[in-house]
Amino acid sequence: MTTGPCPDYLALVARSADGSIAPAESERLDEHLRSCDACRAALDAQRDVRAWLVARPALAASPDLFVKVRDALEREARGPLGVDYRRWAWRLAPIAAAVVIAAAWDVSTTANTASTASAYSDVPVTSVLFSGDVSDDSLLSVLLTSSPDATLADYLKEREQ
Amino acid sequence: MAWRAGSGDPDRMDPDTERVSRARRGDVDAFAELVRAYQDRMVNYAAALVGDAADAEDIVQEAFIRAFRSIRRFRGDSLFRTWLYQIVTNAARTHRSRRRLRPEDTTGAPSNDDREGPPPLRDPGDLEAQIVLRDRLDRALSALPDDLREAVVLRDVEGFDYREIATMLGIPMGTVESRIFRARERLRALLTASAAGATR
Repeated sequence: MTTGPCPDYLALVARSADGSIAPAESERLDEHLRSCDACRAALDAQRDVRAWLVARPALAASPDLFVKVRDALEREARGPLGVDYRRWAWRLAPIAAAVVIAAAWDVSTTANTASTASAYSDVPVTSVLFSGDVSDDSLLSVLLTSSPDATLADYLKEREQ
Repeated sequence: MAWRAGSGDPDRMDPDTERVSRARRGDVDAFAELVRAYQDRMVNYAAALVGDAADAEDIVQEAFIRAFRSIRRFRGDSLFRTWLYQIVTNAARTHRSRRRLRPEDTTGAPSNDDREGPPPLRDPGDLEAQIVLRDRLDRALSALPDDLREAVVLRDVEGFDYREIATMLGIPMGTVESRIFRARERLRALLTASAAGATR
């Protein structure tokens, strides 16, 4: 009956076959191999395969691979608009910052108006008659310019325009 | 010119630092220099993983583009070449998983060449013999599971040490040793069994 190599020595056998075993480990393995046929056979097999693979002729890249990769890199660098955005990014940064600030200011202003109007979308315009904190002038203006079934939001929108 | 990594040492200075630094700032020429420096070894590595020279070139082209896109995220925690090998390994895995879905794929199947017995050591003067030898070895490698093949190719074909292989594959050193042992064991069987069968 044949048995396989000893599990405790597999790593040492693998390393011994490719010459990367430490001296102390090598001595330990040699001691073991003197009494273990299975590990000796495994070491021979490992050495054979190692020798075949080391002797495998290396394959070089074809001459046009570099050209293809280089072209692809140029396309990548230019981006979808055909502009080398990596090189231009720092030059466009101040413009981008100005656009962001302007957009933020505009959004903030619009949001204030919109949020005020939307808060009164369900409030009838006649409710101002029962509000204690509306001036007489405002009360008169609301009553003269709004229809009775309008909402307070409609009145505020008209006044904005 | 063909290339072998020799003994890799992750602790040593990265020889690519300067070119990587320029490439991170968007310098295409710097990255192209890296491509020129590594294209041969990457094609050789990819061919050993997928067993086909044309597929290897496609994988390497894709891997270089992926590397270029993500070079800003490369922090230099490992050597640049280690990082590049990881990208090629992943691209090859993706390629193989796609190919496994194709019914016409025959890579890894025994061929008539496998009946010639154990491969002879290289005769540097005979180009045709070299191609046949490489084809036989790559075909046997293709019959291994991905994890075993990657470990043994990085060690015996590319010449990396166990520690750098562990870093590249993201596995413990003991697992690297185990995978290399089992890969060689299976390759030995693959490369000799068919020859024994043919002589019966």
